[in-house]
Amino acid sequence: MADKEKFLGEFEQFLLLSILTLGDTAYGSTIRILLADTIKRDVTIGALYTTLDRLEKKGLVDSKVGEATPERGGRAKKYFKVTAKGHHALKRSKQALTSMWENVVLSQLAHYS
Amino acid sequence: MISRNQPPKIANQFLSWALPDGIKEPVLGDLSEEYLHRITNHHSLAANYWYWRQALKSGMQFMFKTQRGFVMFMFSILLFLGLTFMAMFLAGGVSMYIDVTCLLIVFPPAFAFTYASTSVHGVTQAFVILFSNDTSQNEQAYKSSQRVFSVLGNSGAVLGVFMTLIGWVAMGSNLDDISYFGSAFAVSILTLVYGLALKMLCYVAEQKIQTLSESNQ
Repeated sequence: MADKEKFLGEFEQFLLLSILTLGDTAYGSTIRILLADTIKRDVTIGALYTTLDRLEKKGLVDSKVGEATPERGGRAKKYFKVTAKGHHALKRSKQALTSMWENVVLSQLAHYS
Repeated sequence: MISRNQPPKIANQFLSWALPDGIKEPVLGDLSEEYLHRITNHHSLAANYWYWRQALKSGMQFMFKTQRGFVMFMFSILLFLGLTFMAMFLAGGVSMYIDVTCLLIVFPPAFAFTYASTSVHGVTQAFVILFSNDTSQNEQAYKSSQRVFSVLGNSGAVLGVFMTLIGWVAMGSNLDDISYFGSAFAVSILTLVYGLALKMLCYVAEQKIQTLSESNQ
């Protein structure tokens, strides 16, 4: 049932958004660099691929083997692409967050912190 | 000599060992690419530090899944050695349990018997299979590796008993000087301890290879 679908986790959203931003050049290194530059999060390559693997198993991303280059020691790249299901999950998470933020004004909460 | 543009070899090998097959190529490729970029733009120490950090953190994350059997095997061996040393320490000191002569009359002959009854290649292969957690070998390789540890363990145990008995014969022949009896008895028993320790480690290794063989079927 659609209502009981779980929302995406924070890191899953960051990864899907990175893949969408990078387009055809989305693979491990470029995603890692984008995350470090944009949100200052220095993730390990292991953590990155663990989450990408989970997203692929859920059908939210798709991957294909790319070209091998000398600077990679002759090893092939693995390119990622967000699937239609991934687009839908992102949109749903964004709508849920927007709804939750609608009536919240942060300055009123400042004295709680 | 380490090539300037090559990632640290040991870190690379550790990561290659720990990663699942499905992501080994892209992960190692991504790290090589970023390492090259870093070593070109930063100091080589910073690039090496970054690579080691990535390799250790990512490798540790995956090794408990991909190399679980090997990690548990090594943990059990280290636990055995740790508890043994602790028992020795609490019993009055580790030094009284170390005797080079006893070590020399148990371990080298046990290995020599093993080489003689199997083969140099067989012994090497047995240790490689044991430490690489390899489940892709054929049935014959596993059987031959089990035989290596069986011969090594049994030779160690029998040598321990044999040398202990020789010590007792020597003690019996010199009973007129009773002052040396205590230390001579302790040394003779020590060979039995070494022999049985080798037998136990080989038994665990043999069973580990049996498990690898069954996972292969």
